[in-house]
Amino acid sequence: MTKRTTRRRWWITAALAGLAVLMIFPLYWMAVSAFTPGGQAQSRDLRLWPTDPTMENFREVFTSQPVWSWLGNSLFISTVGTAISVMVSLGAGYALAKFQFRGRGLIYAAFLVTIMMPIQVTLVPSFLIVARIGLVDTPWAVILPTLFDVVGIFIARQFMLGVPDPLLEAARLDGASERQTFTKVVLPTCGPLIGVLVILGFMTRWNDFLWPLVVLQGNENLTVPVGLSTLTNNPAFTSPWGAVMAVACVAVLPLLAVFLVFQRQFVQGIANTGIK
Amino acid sequence: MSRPSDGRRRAALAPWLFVSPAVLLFLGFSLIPIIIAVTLSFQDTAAVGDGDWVGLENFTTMADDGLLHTALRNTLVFTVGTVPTAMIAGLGLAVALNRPLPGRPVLRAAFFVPMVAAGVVVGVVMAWIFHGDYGVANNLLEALGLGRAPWLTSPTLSMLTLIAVVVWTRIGFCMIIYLGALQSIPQDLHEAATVDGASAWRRFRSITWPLLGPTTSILVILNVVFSLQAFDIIYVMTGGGPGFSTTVLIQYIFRSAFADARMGYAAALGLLLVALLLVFTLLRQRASRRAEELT
Amino acid sequence: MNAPHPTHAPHDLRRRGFLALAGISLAGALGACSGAATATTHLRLSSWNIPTDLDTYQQIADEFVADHPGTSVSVEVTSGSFHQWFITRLAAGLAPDIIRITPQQIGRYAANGSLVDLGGSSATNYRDDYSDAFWAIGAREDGLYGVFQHTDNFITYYRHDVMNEIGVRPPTRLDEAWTWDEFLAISAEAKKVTGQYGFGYGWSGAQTAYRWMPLIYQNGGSFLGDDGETPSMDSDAAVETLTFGRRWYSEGLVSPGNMAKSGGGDVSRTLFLTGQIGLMLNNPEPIPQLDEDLPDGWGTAPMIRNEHEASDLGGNALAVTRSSEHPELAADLVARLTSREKMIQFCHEGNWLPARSSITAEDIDYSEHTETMQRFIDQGTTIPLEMVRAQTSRYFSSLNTVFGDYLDLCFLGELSPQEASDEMMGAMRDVTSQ
Repeated sequence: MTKRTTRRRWWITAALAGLAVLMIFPLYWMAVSAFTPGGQAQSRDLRLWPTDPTMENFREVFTSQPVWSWLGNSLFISTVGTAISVMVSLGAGYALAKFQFRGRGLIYAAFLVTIMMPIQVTLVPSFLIVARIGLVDTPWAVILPTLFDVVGIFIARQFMLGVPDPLLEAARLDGASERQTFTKVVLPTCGPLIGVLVILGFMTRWNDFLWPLVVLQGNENLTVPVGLSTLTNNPAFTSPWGAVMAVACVAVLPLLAVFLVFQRQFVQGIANTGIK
Repeated sequence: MSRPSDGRRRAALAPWLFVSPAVLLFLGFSLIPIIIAVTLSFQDTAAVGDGDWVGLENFTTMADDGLLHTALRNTLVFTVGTVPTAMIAGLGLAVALNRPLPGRPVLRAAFFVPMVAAGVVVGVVMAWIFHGDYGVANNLLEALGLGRAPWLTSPTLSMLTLIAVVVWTRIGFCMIIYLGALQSIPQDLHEAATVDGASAWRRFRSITWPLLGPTTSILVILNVVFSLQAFDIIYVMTGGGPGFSTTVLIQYIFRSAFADARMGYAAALGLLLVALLLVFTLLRQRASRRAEELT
Repeated sequence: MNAPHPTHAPHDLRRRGFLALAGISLAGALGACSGAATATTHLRLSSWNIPTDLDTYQQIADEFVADHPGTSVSVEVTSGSFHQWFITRLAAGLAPDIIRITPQQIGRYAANGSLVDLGGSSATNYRDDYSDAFWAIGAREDGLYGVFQHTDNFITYYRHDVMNEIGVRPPTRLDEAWTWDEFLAISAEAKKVTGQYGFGYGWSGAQTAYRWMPLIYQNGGSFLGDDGETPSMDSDAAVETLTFGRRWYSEGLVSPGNMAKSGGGDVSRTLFLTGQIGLMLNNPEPIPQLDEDLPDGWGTAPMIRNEHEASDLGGNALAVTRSSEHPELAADLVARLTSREKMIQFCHEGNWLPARSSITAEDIDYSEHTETMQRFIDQGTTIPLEMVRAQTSRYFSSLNTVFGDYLDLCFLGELSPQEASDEMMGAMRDVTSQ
């Protein structure tokens, strides 16, 4: 019995490992291209690793483009945006889950509808508002409009629904103010929720493209995906492929590192947030 | 202790304090742009502020717009192709990786990895991999003696290739959400069923799957939203081609708004997209309610 | 890392958010209010992200600033999602003062008041040093909306090894250029040598579909009529051209992965470098990479021709946007950048072709390939004025999309050339009758 189970376990593992290779391959291939001279010394022959690995593409793109600035901007925008946004989502999720008040259903429904509107259509109106406030070309133009994060609020609400009411009642009876109830009683139970919100929020912001594209200007001020887009798909010229792949690697690797380090907490967090 | 009326007033105010930042941000950066977009949908305009009011013309035009109909059909194929596939694959992996296996952390990580790549990056890399003449996918097939496939150059295969690529980016997300849900299912339920002699499939059908119901509902809606708004990957990989074979609604909205500078029509198409999503969400809700009544 | 703006504390922002809400109804008329008062007059110039060019622009701009005390100029970058970025920025009056823009993009913005008439600036004096075709890129009946700065076009590249094996000597002079039939015959031979395909065409993504348009003009057809508005893809000449294009693919001379809308950058370049094709019709962009990966293994010949000569309209114009608060100063900078001396400098540094007629490859003193660069310059004279008018017309951005769509369908064999012509005409009329 146990022997059979063990064998089956190994079969499953082998099958999953095969699939895993398939899953990782595209990103591996991106790295191979970035380390291949010129990025495209490709032909019809099958080569699975760079024949002449080189750092040349990276060296070139780091000297000719402000890649460090792009990384810094992405980091700043993602960190600050995520931090504030998580606070906003926690508050909103708490109110929507734990209070009865007029307009609650309406607010929640209105929030949910907004994720359905494609950004292509709201791009110009949103930009006019940000321009009106005078934020264009500052990192805040990216951060502020994306602080309202429906998915985050949704997840926070789901989690808060699971916080037992007697806990809150007890705190209030003890004379705690509403703020104290929230910060001293509710928040301490929110560890896993905050972890999930932080990772999802950070990832969304790091990869965001269209909005930063229109609100940021000046090569030094761009984020990594926008910087990458100035190198690809232009009607006026074709960038060296090696440079494109090198920047693509730079765009993916930091996030990958963060994700791999925190993946266990992330799964644990999802398990505890009650998206179920 | 404070007087009851005081407490009641305080309780009435409290939720508003907690929700107000979100509401204000929602009003300023979501609702107002949407309202402006809605007004645009009744105008013939290239931007905000210079349009002529044309009533329902943008909506009536839709009826005769052949390209829109093609785009809607493609959108349906794309959505039906991506959503269930990504979810089933994600669920399968979650179930498989929810048990102790050798190398489990590494395997889990491998399936998450595609999640972290931005759409632009995925598009560029995949166009490269699936190129018919020098892409590594075909080089590999040929080395195995299987010949070369027109991944992105055949009108039928290109849609399948795009679906596969989008599923690839989405599996990790579905898996992680399912994995979380699975871990919150009490272990003793399974153990009891095992003792009763239920097979693994039976245990899955009668315990796991029903308990995953709410997760599945959420994932369906999120995945449909993602699929309907999938833009970057298609734009970079096929530009909607060959021909119109991969032109989907969001692509057509982009084209109307910016390539054609018909912002009014694009806004009307955006409302059509929202309407489709709302109808879908309501149908889903009704279906799951009926399922609850039946059980 | 960029420091956050010290004055914008979150608290402060929320208050300003309220102010914004108060101004909702004004959203349409937002353009007027930007521009904080600054001591110096600042200009912004936006260019495609090509490092050498950014440097050259900045260098020329710095000299300009030295001559104009109290001014400053910054050079910024434009991305591939051009229309999204530009339309959005224009709507709020926040577009850069000067924009580097392709001829195929300029039409809409010149026609709808997004660009400023440069008629009053010294750039008008440059007319005599421009061909009619190149001047027409910025010039319309009601004003001058841009000055063409540099150009490029398509010529024929060939691999020496393939040509030697076939035993042909490619032409060197414009009047000896291969005709369509000659070219297809040689391509068929080249296909035998490579074992894959004969030649490639230098598209690089859906927005570059127009690069195939010169073939229509080579055959005596046209994309739009003389008025620059009426679709004219229904002529026999146009249908014949589509038939010619269909043959590229039906006879297996061109890879189906090398079409207008295929992703992955310049596909023909990769096929050429890896010996899967023996010839390609392309612009000067592949040259640095050919030098690196295929040194001395390639040569160039004039663009193919049929009844007429024609080549692709590549390059960029400089234009002043309506967002500019100092349009006259911006126009002066445009005039400076397109002056003969600065154009030579710009083309020398960036390996571009000059837009002015009087500049030769020798003047520019290219570091390499003087002969090939002169070939491009000569080929530039074959770009037809009618095609320039069509491609810089008000609806061209939409028409280009339509063109790419139906080229795809025709080349794939989904539609016969006649059907492609009919349906393209229908779609074009839908656009122009809007």
